[in-house]
Amino acid sequence: MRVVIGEDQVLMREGLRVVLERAGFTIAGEAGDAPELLRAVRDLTPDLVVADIRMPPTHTDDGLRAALELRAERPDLPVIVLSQHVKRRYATQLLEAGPRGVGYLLKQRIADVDTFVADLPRVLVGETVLDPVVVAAMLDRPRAD
Amino acid sequence: MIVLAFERERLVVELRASRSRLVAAADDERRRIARDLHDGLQSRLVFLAVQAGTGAESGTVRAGIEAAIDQLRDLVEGVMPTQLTELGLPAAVEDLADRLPTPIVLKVAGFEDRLAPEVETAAYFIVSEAIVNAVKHSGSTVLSVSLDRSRGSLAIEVSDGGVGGARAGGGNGMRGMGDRVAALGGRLVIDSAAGGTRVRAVIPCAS
Repeated sequence: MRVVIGEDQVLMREGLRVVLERAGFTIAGEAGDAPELLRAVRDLTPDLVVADIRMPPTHTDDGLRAALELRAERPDLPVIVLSQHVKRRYATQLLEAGPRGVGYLLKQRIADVDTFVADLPRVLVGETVLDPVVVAAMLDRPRAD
Repeated sequence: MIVLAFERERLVVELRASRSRLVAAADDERRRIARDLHDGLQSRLVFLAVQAGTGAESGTVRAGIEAAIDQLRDLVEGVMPTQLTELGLPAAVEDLADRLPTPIVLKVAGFEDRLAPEVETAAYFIVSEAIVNAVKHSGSTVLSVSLDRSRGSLAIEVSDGGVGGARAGGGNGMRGMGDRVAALGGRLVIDSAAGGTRVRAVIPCAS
C-alpha cells in the first residue's frame, strides 16, 4: 500500500513517516503545501492520502480543500485529515462530500500508534474514522434545522 | 482658528492611526506566538509521543524532551524576558548584550529603583529592536546603548557607527516602537546618516 503525506512541519512529517511505515505502508510521496499535495497525488495515485488540514500557502484549511478536490476527482480515494484542534465545520465539509473512506483525527492521535495503525485499514475499506473529539463536537451543538 | 482646527483634526487622525496600529501589532504578536507554539512545540511533542509509542530508546526520547524544554524557554523569553520581569531593565539589556555577537558598550545611570512595568517593557523592546536592526543592517562592529534616568524621564539611546539609512517608518518594528513610546507620552527619534544610526527615545516616568 502506498501513501502520500501532506504536512508542512518537518517533525510531524517525520512522525507520520515512522508510524505509516510501521503500519506497512510505503511512502510514495511527501508534500509540504497544498498545490504540491494535489500534484503528488495526481502523479503518484497512492492508495491513501494523509494530510494536515492547516498547510501553506494560506495556513488555514488548505489541506482540507486539497483533500476535497482530490476526492471530487477520485471519490473512492481514502483520505485521512489531521488537525491540531477540532472544527465542526471541517468535519461537516468532509462528511458531506461523501463519508466513505475518510478519517478526521487530532494530530496527537498518531502517537497512539496501535490505534492509529488499526484505523488505517478501516479507512482503506471505506469506513469513516472520526476522532472522539470530532464526534463530541458534532453532537454538542445540534444544527438549527 | 482655522489653522488650529486643521491641526486638531490632523492630530486626531494621527492618534486614531497609531491606536489602530498598536491593536494590529498586538494581534500580529498573538499570531506569531500561536504559530511558534503550533509549528514548533506542538510538532515536537507529537513527534516525541510517536517516538515513545514506537519504542524509541529512552535516551533519544529524553533528548527530545530536553529540546522541547529549551524551545519552550526560548519562546517564553521572546514573549517576555524573565530577566526583565525579575531584575529590571539594566539587567535585561545586559543579558541581551551578552547574547549578541557584536560587542556593546552599555552606559546606565539613575536606576536606584524599578521603573513602571509598561515603561520597562517599552524601553526593553526599543533597545532590542534597535540592536537587532543595527546588527542586521549597519555593518558596524561596535554598538553603544545608553539608559539614562533623570528628572522624571528615561532617555534611551542606541547608536552604531554603521552605514545609516534607517527610517522611523521604515520597518514595522520601529514604527511599532514609535507608537508604543507615543502611547506612554514620550518621543522616538531616529537619526540615520552616513556616520551611523542613532535611535533615541525619551519616555516620561515618575520620580
